[in-house]
Amino acid sequence: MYALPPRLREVQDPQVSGVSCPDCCGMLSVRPEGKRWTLVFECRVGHTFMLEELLVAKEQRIDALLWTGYTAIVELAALLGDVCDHDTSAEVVQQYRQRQERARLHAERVRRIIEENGPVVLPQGTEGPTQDLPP
Amino acid sequence: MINAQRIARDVVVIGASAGGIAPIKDLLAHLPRQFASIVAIVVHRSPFHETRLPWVLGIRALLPVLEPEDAAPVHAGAVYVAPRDHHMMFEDGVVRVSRGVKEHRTRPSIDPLFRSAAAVYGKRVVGVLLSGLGADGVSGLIAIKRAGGLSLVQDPGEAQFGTMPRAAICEDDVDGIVSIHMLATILPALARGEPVASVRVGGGVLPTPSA
Repeated sequence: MYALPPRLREVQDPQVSGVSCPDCCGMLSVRPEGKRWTLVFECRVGHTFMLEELLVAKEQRIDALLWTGYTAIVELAALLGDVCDHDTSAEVVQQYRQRQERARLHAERVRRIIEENGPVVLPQGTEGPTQDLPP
Repeated sequence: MINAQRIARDVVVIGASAGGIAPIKDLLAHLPRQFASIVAIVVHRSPFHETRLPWVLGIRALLPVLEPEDAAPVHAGAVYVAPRDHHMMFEDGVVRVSRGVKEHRTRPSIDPLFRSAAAVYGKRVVGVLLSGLGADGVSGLIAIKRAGGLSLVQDPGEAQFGTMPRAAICEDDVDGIVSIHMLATILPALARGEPVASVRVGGGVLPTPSA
């Protein structure tokens, strides 16, 4: 499956792309606009992105999702630890401690992935997007 | 020559982002009291803070500057500013103000205003893209030109942030690259249906589009 349709710059009409809208997960269409056929992405409800904005949005989503995954693992480890400190049978505690240890390990790995996951560097002159600027 | 066809271009839509407040204040301070065009402005702004943006923009203006209510009738000679967290669009003699879908992850966004102006007013429209980052407004300017209107951008060299006007220059054939100072005389002339000498200040330092 493609991300961009193969004959992108030969067709002026919007075509279905293979990537989803970062704001609502709907399908994105893509169309070329202007003399340089710059790419404009638009989903069914109208969320609209230039190519660089889409790249940034995808990067932001990956970052948010990685942190979400990290938090979920860390929370599970903390919960299992606290449960073991309370009561529960020796057998269950052993189970829980093992899982807690694996979770800690995985959390470290995800943390490392987050740190290594530096975003794409955009070409000069495409700074943005610009939101929440104080007027 | 801009407007060799001598069409009265009496609908002005302006888009600005970072670094856009000062040039708009300047422009509005120099538009004459009898300027009878419809003027609508989108400045990227925080959706979370209540500010007195119209007051700030109009501090030296001779024309009334206001944030319209939804479905307010359009009056020539008034300057409409998109309220925070709302797109502003033209529709059949009224201004619509709505919390529509964000474009370029921002609301208000410039493209919806430009597109609606092109659809409603066609050849009467002059679209102006000022200082800013990103590329909001580029697609809208293309729509304005396609409908027979004119497109102007602030000289990227003068703009505090030249990214947005430069994007418009790279992606489409804009009719003029102007300073704010020139804009204040060009807009009234275009409104009267007069042709204006081609202006491409800073033309020599503009980036050549890379394929």
